[in-house]
Amino acid sequence: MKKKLLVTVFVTVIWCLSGTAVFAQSTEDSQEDESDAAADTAPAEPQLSFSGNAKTETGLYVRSGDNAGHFSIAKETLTGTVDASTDKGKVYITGNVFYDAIKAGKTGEESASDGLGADVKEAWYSLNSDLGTSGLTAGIKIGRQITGWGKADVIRITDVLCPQDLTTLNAANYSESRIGVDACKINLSGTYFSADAYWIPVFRPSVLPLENWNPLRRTIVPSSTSFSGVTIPVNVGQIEKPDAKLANCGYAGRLSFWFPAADFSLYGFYGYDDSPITSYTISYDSSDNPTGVTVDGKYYKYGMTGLDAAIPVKQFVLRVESAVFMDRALARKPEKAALEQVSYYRKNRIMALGGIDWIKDEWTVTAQCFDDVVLDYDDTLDRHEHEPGSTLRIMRTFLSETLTLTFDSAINWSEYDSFISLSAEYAVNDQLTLGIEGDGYIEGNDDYSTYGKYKDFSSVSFKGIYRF
Amino acid sequence: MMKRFNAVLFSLLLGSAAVSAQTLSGYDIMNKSDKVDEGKTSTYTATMTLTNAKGSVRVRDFIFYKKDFGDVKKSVIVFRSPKDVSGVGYLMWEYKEVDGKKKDSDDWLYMPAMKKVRRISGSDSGGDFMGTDFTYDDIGDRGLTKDTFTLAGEENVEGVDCWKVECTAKKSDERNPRRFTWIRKDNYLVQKTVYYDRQNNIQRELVTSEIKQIDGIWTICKMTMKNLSTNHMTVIELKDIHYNRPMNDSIFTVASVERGAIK
Repeated sequence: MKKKLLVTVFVTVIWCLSGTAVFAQSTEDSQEDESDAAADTAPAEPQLSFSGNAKTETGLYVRSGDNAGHFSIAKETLTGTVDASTDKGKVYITGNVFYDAIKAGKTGEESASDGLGADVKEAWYSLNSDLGTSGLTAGIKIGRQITGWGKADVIRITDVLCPQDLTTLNAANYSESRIGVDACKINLSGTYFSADAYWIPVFRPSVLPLENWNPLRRTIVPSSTSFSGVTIPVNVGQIEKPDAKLANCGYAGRLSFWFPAADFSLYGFYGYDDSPITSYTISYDSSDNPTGVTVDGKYYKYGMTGLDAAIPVKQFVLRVESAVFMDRALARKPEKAALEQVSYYRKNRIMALGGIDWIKDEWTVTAQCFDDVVLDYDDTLDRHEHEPGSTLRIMRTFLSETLTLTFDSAINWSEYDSFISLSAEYAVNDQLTLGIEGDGYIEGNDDYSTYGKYKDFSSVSFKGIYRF
Repeated sequence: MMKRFNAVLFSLLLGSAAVSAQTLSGYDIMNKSDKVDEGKTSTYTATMTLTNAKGSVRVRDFIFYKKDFGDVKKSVIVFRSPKDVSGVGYLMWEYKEVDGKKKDSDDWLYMPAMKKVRRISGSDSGGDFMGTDFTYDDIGDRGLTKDTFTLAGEENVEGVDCWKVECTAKKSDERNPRRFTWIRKDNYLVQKTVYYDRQNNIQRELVTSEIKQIDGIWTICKMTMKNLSTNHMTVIELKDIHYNRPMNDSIFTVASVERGAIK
């Protein structure tokens, strides 16, 4: 049934695009004598390119704690991209093959097969056609695709379409953490606007660090907890994904405008949250003594509507972004969820951000302030009613843009926990880039707050990328 | 960061009809040079070769499209190499000078890694263009309102008769508050420019060459900019140059840049 529907939609859209292409051609034919008649300057001949990079990353946890001196990352990644295009169609596939030495040593003895892995980041086909001469274009894009929404940097507000890979700490590189969503996108665009509609037939969740070998697991599920004065182990049970069926599809849309004075966009999304709500089941022995906790997870739907804008003012660009998350399932505090067997409440939530960019010569400075508010707040929720924060990035290039120094920081004002990163990246030549980065997580009033929970994961890392 | 590349090389590179014998002021010469024929549309591919003091070479390739819509000129650049900037797209809508005033351009930058377009300030910048020895100012359409012009004489440069014009920035805090430009008498092309820093020392020197008439429009196909203070040099060579070819308006839209549709 689902396959039939997919084929029907696909054929219908292709037919519509073919029709518009024919219409556009006949329009062009009738105007071919006019000197400024439209015609594609895109290459008519098919083009095929292959590119990629080999990346090595090594890092160490540096703060005191049981992680200090342990490898934070030890990974070799080979990325390949195939890009085949004609004047209207395009096939794009990019994926990774990697060897993770930490994962390989998860049992105490190194196993190469455990450390090897591969993933397809994107694999899509697109078809676009100009509708006449005035810049109007219609298109379709089918397959696994990464889409970036919103004007915010690093902070995720309207950018809910793509889930994230959270198995490594990538706080300073948010864009790299996004993973593709399997979707069908239909697009209509013109000189000043673009309208995108997405159908997401198969839900793809964020990848969480739940495997026992991953030290980040403790930021989501502790290895043990105290219950009624007894320390009991915590085990991960089932993380239940929704069935692949029509009722579980996701839907999204974006309407963007680009005007001389400002850009702005409207967003809508209805589908599953890519992070699960966890529930807790306590097991007892025959004497009613607690023996363990099992953590299960389940995904819940919600709706989002949002907007953003970017306004250039002299040497600055002002950015704003806001979203209302309707009926979003928000986790309750674990102890309440476990005792009362109610793991979440549905609440409306609002996020809003204001930012400013300044670029002058070799300097780039961006600053942002944001707030995250739960309406009709309940004290048993596992978060604050308000969670305001700020970010600051200062970047400078040297030596004809071959050396880049970057300072990144973020602070959560509700608990005063923060993140600071210093990095240097040097392009030895056009192919080889070397980098060093130090990331520090500083706890505030609460060890389990946004950045505070990573306090034992402050690290120094090195990377080298060879592009081909 | 790439900015201000709209009029890109064309304001420096293009020529017009031969000059009459009448006496012209410095402003008249620069005004005629500024208004040389650029064609209704233009496209080319460019190779930028950067050589540092040690002789190490880096190369950047990009494709460029431009269309004159009357009150606004729109251009788009997409980098093809090196791999770390491949796919980076830059769209600029640049407005014509009206009553001696020039509205800031509208600029958008597409970074493939971010998967989204970013609005960039169109306000002035004296920064280096993509790590080259060219600044956004001296390769973009600086216009005529930011400087005063004085005819400093007539000289023969490399066998070509030129006017020597002194250009003094109205704002003294500019990176190059003073420069001398040699404008060819035969077609108003720039033959050479010498840039002075704030200490009034020669900082950079531009020399143009390989002048051809393409589709009826005089075009300089090679520019060499040397930074005398750093011993760094940038050579920009243009290929596949075409003028007045039909171009669909959709090329000059943010949506098109965001789709990565321009190659």
